[in-house]
Amino acid sequence: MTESRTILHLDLDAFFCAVEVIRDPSLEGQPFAVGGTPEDRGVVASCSYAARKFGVRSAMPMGQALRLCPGLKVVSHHGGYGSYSKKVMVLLDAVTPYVEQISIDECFIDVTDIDAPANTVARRIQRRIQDELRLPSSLGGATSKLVAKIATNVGKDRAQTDGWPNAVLIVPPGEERAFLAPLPVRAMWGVGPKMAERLEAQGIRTLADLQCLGDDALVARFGSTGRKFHAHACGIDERGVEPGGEAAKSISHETTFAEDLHEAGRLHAVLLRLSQLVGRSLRDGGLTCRTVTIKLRWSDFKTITRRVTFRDGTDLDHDLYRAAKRLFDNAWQPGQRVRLLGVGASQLSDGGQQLSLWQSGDDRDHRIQAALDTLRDRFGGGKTRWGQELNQRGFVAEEDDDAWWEADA
Amino acid sequence: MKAVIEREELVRGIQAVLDIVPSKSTLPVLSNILVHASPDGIELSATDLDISIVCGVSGKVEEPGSTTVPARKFSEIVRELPDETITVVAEENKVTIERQAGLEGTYVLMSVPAEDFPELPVEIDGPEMNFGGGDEDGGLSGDLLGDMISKTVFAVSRDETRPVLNGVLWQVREGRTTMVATDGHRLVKFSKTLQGPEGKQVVTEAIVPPRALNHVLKLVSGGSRLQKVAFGQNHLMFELIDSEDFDGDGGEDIRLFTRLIEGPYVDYEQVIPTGNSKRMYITNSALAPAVRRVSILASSQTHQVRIELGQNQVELSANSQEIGGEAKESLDARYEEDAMAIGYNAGYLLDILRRIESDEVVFELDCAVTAGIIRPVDQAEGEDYLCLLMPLRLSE
Repeated sequence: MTESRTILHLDLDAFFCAVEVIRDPSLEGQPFAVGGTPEDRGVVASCSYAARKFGVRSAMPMGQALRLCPGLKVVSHHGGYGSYSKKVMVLLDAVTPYVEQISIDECFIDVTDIDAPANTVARRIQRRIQDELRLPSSLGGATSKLVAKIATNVGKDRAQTDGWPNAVLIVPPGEERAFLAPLPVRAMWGVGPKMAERLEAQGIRTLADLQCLGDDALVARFGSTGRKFHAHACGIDERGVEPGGEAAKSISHETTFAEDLHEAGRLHAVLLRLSQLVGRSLRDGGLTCRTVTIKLRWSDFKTITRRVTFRDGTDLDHDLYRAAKRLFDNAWQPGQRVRLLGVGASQLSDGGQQLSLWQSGDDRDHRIQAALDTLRDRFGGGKTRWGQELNQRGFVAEEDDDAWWEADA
Repeated sequence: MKAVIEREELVRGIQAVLDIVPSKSTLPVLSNILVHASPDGIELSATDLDISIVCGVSGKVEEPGSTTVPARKFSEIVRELPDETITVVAEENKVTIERQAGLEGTYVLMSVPAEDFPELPVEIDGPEMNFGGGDEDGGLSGDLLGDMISKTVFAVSRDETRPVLNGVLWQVREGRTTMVATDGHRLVKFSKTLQGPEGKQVVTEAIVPPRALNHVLKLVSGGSRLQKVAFGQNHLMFELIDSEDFDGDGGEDIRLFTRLIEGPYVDYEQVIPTGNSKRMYITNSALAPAVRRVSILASSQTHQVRIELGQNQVELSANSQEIGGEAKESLDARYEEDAMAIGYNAGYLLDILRRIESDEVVFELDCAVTAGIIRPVDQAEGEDYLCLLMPLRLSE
């Protein structure tokens, strides 16, 4: 049996809003939301805690948010969120190398080797992020990733404050089961609204219900997922913190638009930009991919993915874009409204890309790509654009304003 | 229909056609063998609609007629019988296999009428290539054709998005015949000069599906002698004689028809580099086993083996992060150019090395990201075997 670990989960509180407060301190304590304006059918990307009191939530149409909270101030995306996120990661890296970032505003930290109580370590990290970066955060701690993440959410819910929750909740070893028992099934990681409904329809409302039902009964009802349910409900999760995140398996970038897009030109421009981001991540990691996946969310939230696998691996932007565009054009009807677009690369391999006889013999494509990367490093992405992007200049964000493609806070 | 056939002879006929019977087909009758008995003789046929084969079987026709029998069961039954005389009788919806004219046992199989069997090509109208005398008169023998097939067919592409690469290009020119296959990662070309009698040569070309070539190769290595190839517009016909029965008055013949792949083939000459000036000579019997060993620890995705060329020395290495291991071997070689490192898919490299008979091979290289040429140093008179292999891009 392995020694028990101490894992912290960190969540930056209303991250986009917190960054906007740094930019404009007068927003502090105000009900406001980051996102598109109601005139543009915008949606809430992130909202302040003062706004949450009125029932405003992320992903809600801005019009509805304004009806709930008439005094709501709407702040448009200023971007630059990615650079704040990076600063947090740099700060955490100084604490321990065992940091696994899971999204722009969330990560796991394995602090087993730090000789201090988990609560102290968590408070110390929280204070440094607040003092040095002026960003509020909440942390959960436990012996597993699963329970740590749930602890963060429970801690936030329990925080009796109108402002930033700044919560820290540690579940001591051995108390996982008891901690989870009273929580509703939807508190569990991996149980979405649909699955929650299915479980509730069978009378399974709390994690205690799942704990009591036992492995066999759950497998009989839900197949192998049932086994996972039981383990997770009991707080059993063997996954360790993997520094570098899931980079070893896939690389993806996606963007949720503040307003749905429906013009081919703009959508293609976004696909191109996402393909370039994926391509750059591949090249930075010395990887090639064989599979390209696109993710599309329509205005009615229905989400589809489409993928294609190449015979040979690639790390070139235009190969990724060509594949992504073909997938997109096959899946999209002209005029159809798109809420989210994503491009992903998988079947990764570190080097060893098989070259083809039909490639230009002098390896021209790779030399052009390397030259472009160098230019982008020196002058920023705004100086080196493909012809297609130039047509969409009004739309494509400048390099330092890269937030439009990042995930919602 | 009633025919009396020696069991051994029937087994030979079934074996010649059985491989062509598709294991799964939308047309159920294709899983049957067509048995046709006429005063001219007995023939067994099979087809998958792309390839058809007709094999003559010697025997006594007591009652002419045709029927079709389920191929696999027919084959299993006949194979299990001892060597004796078998009588095959077809009546309405059944075929009876009688041991010693029904004295010792009978096997009855449901049959499908011969009329339901697709019509097979009979003759090919087009240039013909005759293989009578083989090497003795400077022509092409069936054995050499088999050699050409086995040295090229492995490189045929399986990628169905470029159908023209799914076959071997077979060119017959004045004084020379060539086979080429490529899948975009490697390209092999084998040509042989022909010095057949004036006027007897054909000038033609065809893109031949590998399945047909492999079957011809199997028949030739099984002892059948290639007599003739006829190049039609859409079909190619191979005519062979089973030499075991060849006793002077003509053995039973086998005719294999294959549909051709529509061209044109890629302009392969264009991708064969002409400026590869770095030459590395190495012993095949040392290199091939070393590549095999080192590749045990290569990445299971790329099968990358790194070849580091230094002064008269070659170092092979591989490593795999998934397995967590690495391998290295040094070999003597003749190389006097600048040091360089190049990566190859070990499987592709071995595919080539295993088909080179010469113990010394030469790698003609230019740089780490362009095609390398691998050739045997010693080749038979008039033969030219060239293998092109694209490298793997080495990770930094």
